[in-house]
Amino acid sequence: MFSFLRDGVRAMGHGGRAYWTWLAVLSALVLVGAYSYGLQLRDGLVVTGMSDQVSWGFYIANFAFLVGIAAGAVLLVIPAYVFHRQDVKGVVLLGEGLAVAAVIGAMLFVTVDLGHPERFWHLLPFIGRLNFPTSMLAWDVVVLTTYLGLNLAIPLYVHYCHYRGQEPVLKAYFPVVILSIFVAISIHTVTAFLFAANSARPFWHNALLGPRFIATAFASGPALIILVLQAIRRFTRYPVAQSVIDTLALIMTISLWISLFFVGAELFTDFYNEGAHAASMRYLYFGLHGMDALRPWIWTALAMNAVAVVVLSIHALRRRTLTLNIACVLTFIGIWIEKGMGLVVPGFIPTPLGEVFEYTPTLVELGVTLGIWALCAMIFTLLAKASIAIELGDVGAARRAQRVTA
Amino acid sequence: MLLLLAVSATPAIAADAPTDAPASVPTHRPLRSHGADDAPPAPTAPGAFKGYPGAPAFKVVPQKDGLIFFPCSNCHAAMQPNPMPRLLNSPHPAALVHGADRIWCLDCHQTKDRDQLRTFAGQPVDFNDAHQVCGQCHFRQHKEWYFGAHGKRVANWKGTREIYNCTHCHDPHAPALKPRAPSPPPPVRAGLEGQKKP
Amino acid sequence: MTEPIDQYRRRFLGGLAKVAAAGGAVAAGGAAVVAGAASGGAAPAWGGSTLREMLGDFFQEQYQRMTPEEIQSALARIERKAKRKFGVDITCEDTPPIPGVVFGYALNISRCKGYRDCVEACVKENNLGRDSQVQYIRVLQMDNGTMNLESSEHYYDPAKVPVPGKFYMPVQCMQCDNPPCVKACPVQATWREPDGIVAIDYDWCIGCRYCMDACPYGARHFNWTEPKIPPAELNTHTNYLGNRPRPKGVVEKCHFCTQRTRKGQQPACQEACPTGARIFGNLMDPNSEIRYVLANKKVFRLKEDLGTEPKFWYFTD
Repeated sequence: MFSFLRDGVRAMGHGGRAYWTWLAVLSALVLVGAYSYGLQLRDGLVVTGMSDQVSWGFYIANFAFLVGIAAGAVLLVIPAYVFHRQDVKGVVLLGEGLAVAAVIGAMLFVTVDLGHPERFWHLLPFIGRLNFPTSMLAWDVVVLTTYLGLNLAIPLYVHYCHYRGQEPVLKAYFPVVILSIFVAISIHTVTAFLFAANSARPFWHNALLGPRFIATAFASGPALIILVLQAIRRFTRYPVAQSVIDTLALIMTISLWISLFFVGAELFTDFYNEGAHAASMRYLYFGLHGMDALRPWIWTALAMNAVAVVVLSIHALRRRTLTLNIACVLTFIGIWIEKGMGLVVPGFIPTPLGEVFEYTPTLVELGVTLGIWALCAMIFTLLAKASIAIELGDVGAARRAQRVTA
Repeated sequence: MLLLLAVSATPAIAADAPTDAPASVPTHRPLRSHGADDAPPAPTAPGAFKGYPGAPAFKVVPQKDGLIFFPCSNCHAAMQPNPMPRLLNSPHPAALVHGADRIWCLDCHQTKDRDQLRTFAGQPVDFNDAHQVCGQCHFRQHKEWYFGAHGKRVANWKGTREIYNCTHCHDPHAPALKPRAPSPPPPVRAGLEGQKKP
Repeated sequence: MTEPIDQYRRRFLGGLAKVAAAGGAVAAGGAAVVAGAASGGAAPAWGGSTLREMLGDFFQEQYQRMTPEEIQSALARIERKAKRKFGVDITCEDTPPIPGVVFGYALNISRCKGYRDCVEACVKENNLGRDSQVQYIRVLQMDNGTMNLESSEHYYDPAKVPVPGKFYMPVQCMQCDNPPCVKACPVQATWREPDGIVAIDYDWCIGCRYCMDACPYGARHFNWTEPKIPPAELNTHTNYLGNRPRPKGVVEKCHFCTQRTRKGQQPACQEACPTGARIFGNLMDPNSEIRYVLANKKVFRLKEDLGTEPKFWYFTD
């Protein structure tokens, strides 16, 4: 076990110029994030743009989006293990690595949003006072930690077996995989319920929020995975079957159509007989009392998603790498806007007492966010590096056998 | 065709018969009953107001010591009372902005003894019990004041109930509260002052 | 069933604290720490706090789980912290609820003139940061003829109030009987006390602000920055759950002045109101003013349809 871990870490230390340049850029961004967070720790959350009126902002927006990305890994797990697609099985471990990076990123976004992060131990059961099962945030802590654990344990086990030149015992880890599928759905449902539980906030308090979260996760998750798999194909020797990308693109198309249908349903329900509960929707799409900071953003996001779904629906365009990638980028950014700022901020505008007070993220928030995203990318890169090295046989039993015969 | 015949043959359902009563007879139920079922209340002789039954006990915060010209008999003991309603000179208020000219000074102040107030029935009322006078017209507020839904309690919420007299807040000669400047509006979060639009 | 778990947790935390204290004394920077500890906190290392203080702070239990001794040491820590920060001696007590009392509040919107005297009194009584935006009471200027909160004005500043054609409705924590904030808190830093007050343990709150999402009345406020109180204006009579000076990064709200009301005094807002618009008392006492108002006036509560069961009523003449 020790040599497995040591060799895995060593594999992270070997790479070409592209690898090291990539890591250097990410490190620089992580340092920017660390410095920004230092400012926040010193002066308090006053360095952000949040206020009593809009008390959650850019950090939680990115948190919600990243939980969706993490849940999207399930779209590789299900075909690989439930439908026994061998081509997908080849990349499922990378998908789980992406889930690990995304969950860590999500947890970091919540941590940097806390007023007293050093009091995190208050969240531990028994030692602290975790309000489980009443508080939805407590549920989120539990399911995210479980998901992180599962997505570390399963690849660790499989890689360890491959490292030792053995096949993993399916009966041993299949139940854990099935559990991880349910937990994947639960992390995003719980995150949606986090918002939907608040009857004080009509913008979030609807039954469609959970389905919307899942649908957008299943559109933005594959978008990222498709781009990442192509990067792996380009920069490493690891084979990625085209059929995997085709399957993901198809799932993405359907999910995006469903997402847009949900958006339409929400717009109709709110605006056909417009009452006070539609005020937040009106603020988001049309502005309220002359304040409309989010309006250009949401319409851009809607346009991006509309263009993407049309491109993806045309078979020939979905097959072509260039147009597929454009659609992926549009989907990713479009959903990031809509599910991030376009979901979190309008829930606070107007306030429960009817006040319209806007929110703009500050440079500190942007710096910390950039740092966390860079850290996620770094974690995934390092995990993928080790994973690929083990899978290709560059380390482990196969390698040792090679050296002996050489 | 048959349906039409059937419908027209059926006599009208629940048709109101037109009334022959003349239009001048009122159709509502009169409020003032003649020969009522309830027995009339037991008669009481007019006298001092006995308070509202069930009201929690209270102490009125005394106010007499704060009156500038009290005791009024300092001047009035030597003066001849003039019961003619008219405008008065200083030190009395120039006008009574109370009651829209329906009342004047000696409706509330005793003619003979200026150190006391009076009720409609002529009962003397101490200045510290001024609410007995006000409560004659403003009986709704008076009852609520007895029970604590009007006026101001001071000192505590638990223990001996101490409340202010009417005249503590309402100047009896110009009772309406005057508008005044408010305290400043709530601050916006530090660093976001530019965010708030007027 | 929780007793053995309690004791285990206490031993574990106590052990952790001792280990951390020992480790901290040996760690780098020990010289400064020793100097700080030796001079009894007068040295400015870590803002004047000794390592022992910081560890005591860090490992402090949640209020409802503290033993009486732990509460006393927490109170002493708070008093010392205030002395370091403001140079003022304060007293911090633990005021328990009065048995048989559940607080209720009623506000006569025919009487409120929008002076904001209540807001000012609250700021002074409860040691609210003068520039940190936190004000427990917000007075809404509403147009006559509507109860639509969206048309309310929060920042009214006319030459004189009341403005003709408007009425005034102060909003503060409603101390709900079914509080959504208590359900939301992931660490149980806020809970409902036996006398109906929804309390916050400021030393347990992690500052996630989920409770602020959940509150339908905008009653909870966050210390985005360190609250600045002029030392001369500090209210030195404080209690743990109420008006003791709070740190940045925690949520706070109106608590019906527990430091006063649990001793029979009126809340500062009621005392300050010159028109007597505010009625406060014990809902369990059938002879109280608040009970009379509820039985005899036309009362309503804000957003009652959300099922929060607020204990703050509004009524008219």
